[in-house]
Amino acid sequence: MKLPADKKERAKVLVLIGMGVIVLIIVLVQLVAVPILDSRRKLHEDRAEYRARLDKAWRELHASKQIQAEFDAVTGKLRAIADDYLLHPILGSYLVGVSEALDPQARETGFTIEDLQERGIQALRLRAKETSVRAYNAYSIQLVGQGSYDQIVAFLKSVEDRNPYVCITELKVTGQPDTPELHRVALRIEWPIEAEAAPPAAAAKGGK
Amino acid sequence: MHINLILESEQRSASLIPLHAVIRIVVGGLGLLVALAVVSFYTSYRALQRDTEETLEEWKHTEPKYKAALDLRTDLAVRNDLMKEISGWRDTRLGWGAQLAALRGAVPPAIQLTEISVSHDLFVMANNTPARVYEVRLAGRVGAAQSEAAVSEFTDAFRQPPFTAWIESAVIPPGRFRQDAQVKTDRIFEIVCKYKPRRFE
Repeated sequence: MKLPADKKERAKVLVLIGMGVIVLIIVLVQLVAVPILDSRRKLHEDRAEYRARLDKAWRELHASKQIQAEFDAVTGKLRAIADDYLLHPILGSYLVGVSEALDPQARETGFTIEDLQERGIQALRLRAKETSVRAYNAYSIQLVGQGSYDQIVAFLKSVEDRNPYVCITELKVTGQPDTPELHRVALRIEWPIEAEAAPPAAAAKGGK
Repeated sequence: MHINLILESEQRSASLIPLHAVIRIVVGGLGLLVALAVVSFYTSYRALQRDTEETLEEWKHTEPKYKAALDLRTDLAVRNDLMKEISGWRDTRLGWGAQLAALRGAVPPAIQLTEISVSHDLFVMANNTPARVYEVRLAGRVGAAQSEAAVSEFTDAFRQPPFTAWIESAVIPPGRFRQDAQVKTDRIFEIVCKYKPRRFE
């Protein structure tokens, strides 16, 4: 294409061409460059985000071996505590288990158990966090008996030493004028039990 | 006089490289540069796209394992809480067999204890720490002669080892040291021992 020979006409054509080029550049920038640049920025962001997630995940996966070991250890300890020290219902009754645990100890120490009654189940009120999973309840019994001071001490020590999770929460030792060598004892003892294992009827009885 | 008979359209540049050629070279060079920039941009864009896709794929592959690891961590936290709860239960209790054995050694010969009563409560302390606290009420009888000295000696025993490890205060509540209504020559008394809170920590 030849430009017009006339200077004015040629200038007009050049201005028109210049404007056309500018419009074309604007259109190209708006319709092609901007979306492509946006897309590239988004790709960058996505990649950075997934890389950050992967880094976090790899760190977590790297630590998970140690966590698994800790988990197994704690689970083992909890299972051992549950097996050895928590009270388990026998045919739906915890009291039978309590009798089975206390009677031999009373015989060994010469303490006389006269009465043993269930006082119910209540939530373990001593907890790490109120939001934590409720896994344990306290099963409490009222025991009435008598013995000499030595027998009482021996019986209490026996109960407490054999199960470090048993807690005597109330105790009353009263002298008896008729038999001064024997004292009357009323005890309230609490055992932790697994919360989910609590029979609904017993749980409904409530606590203190 | 200088006469130029050459028409404007017939004029030629005296330069060795004509202006048109320079313009063509510049325009061509710019076009080449633009083309190279476009190719380079496209190549890096495709590489970025591929890299992002690969990273996403890797994430999809890793995510289930990561979630399982997080679940494991959560389960461990729950179990640690349970462990803390049951250990706190154990550690905050007080062995009453040992307490009664220690008490026996602290009773002065002149005193006859008539009742030992232990009660306990659980509460949350100011720093939001749960705690177990015990209170012991000791009731007894003592002959009137030197009764004050004997009861003071007994009360003081709770302010000395081994009791100081457990007991916060031991006091005779007002009016709880008095004449026995039945045996006028005797005095009866009551001592209240407040135990230190056993914090759940």
